[in-house]
Amino acid sequence: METGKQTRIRRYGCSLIDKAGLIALASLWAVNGVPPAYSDVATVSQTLQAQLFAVGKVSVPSSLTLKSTGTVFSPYVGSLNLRYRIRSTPSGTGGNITVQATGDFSPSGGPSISNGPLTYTCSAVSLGTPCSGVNSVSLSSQTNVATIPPAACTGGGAPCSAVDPNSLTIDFSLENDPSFKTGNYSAVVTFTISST
Amino acid sequence: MVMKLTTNHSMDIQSQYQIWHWAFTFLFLWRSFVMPAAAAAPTKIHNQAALPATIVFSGADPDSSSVPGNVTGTISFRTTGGEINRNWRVQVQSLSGNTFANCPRSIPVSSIRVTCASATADGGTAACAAPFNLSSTLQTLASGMEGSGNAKPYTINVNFVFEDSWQFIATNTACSVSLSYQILAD
Repeated sequence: METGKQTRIRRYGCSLIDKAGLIALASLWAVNGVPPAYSDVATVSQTLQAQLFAVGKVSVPSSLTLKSTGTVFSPYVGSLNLRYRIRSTPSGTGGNITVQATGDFSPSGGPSISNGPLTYTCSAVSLGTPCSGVNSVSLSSQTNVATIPPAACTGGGAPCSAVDPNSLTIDFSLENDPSFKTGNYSAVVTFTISST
Repeated sequence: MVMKLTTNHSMDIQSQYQIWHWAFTFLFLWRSFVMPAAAAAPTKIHNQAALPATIVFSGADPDSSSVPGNVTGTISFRTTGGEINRNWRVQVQSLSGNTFANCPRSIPVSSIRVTCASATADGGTAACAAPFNLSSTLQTLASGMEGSGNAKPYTINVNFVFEDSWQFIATNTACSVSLSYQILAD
């Protein structure tokens, strides 16, 4: 009986050397020929180009009422908040905001822009340089409101302006001449922004 | 006492035999049915192209923030030795870093939205990945299973949209981004 059992042990048992050899063979057999992560890799190129044009946009309230300050024959005044966005190229001349009267006061018998009674001053500009001094609105030409530097952009902070949109204040003043007939008078002025 | 010890020893040997038996059976089956396919000739990529060579964005109004490229891009290639149980993938990245090149000031490449519009793989499968913003790291555009056989064409149509902004200064010359598409086949 003892002899028979020892024979079975030899049949099914393995020495450490046998086991190591079998494991090595099995491993080589199993992994031999396993392909790499990718059989082939190819690359190809393409270019994207962006041309960003110089552009500006301006916005003002649809109307502004000029009111008397209360003193006899003192001028009628009103303050307008102009908003704008702009971007300009580094090598251009920058941008400009201008104003021009595109129609005189009506009806007749009141103030007349052609006689120069409508003036304005500029202040509180968030990007660029405001007009200086007192300026007259013209019927025949655009007059300066603000000058924008080259390489300008709106919003987000440096290198652009800190605020979005940009803004400036225009204070209008209309002469109160005793020769004007009493009544309501209106004129149209147009603001233009340009950028290079 | 002697009989009990002998019985336990006999069961340990049988367990070892069963483990080795199943291990070799598994390896035999794997080598017989799985390995032949995996060890077949590797897939090769040919005729890869990205057209057109240049795609242009014209940003005239930052308020219309999405500026589409002037054309749709197309990436095409062929494979030989492909197998239906193998994968393919197309990835794209900016080689210009995180910003456009030749710009007077930094414009991030992430302002370009990349959308796979369609993808086809003759004899295989193709699926577009979700849209993403371009970056300097590889992102998957499309993937699928290879078409078996030779000279199988693959086509991926890509739409690019530039997200313009007032925070980008105007450019005197066109800024550019170099794209690199990486095509991988198992």
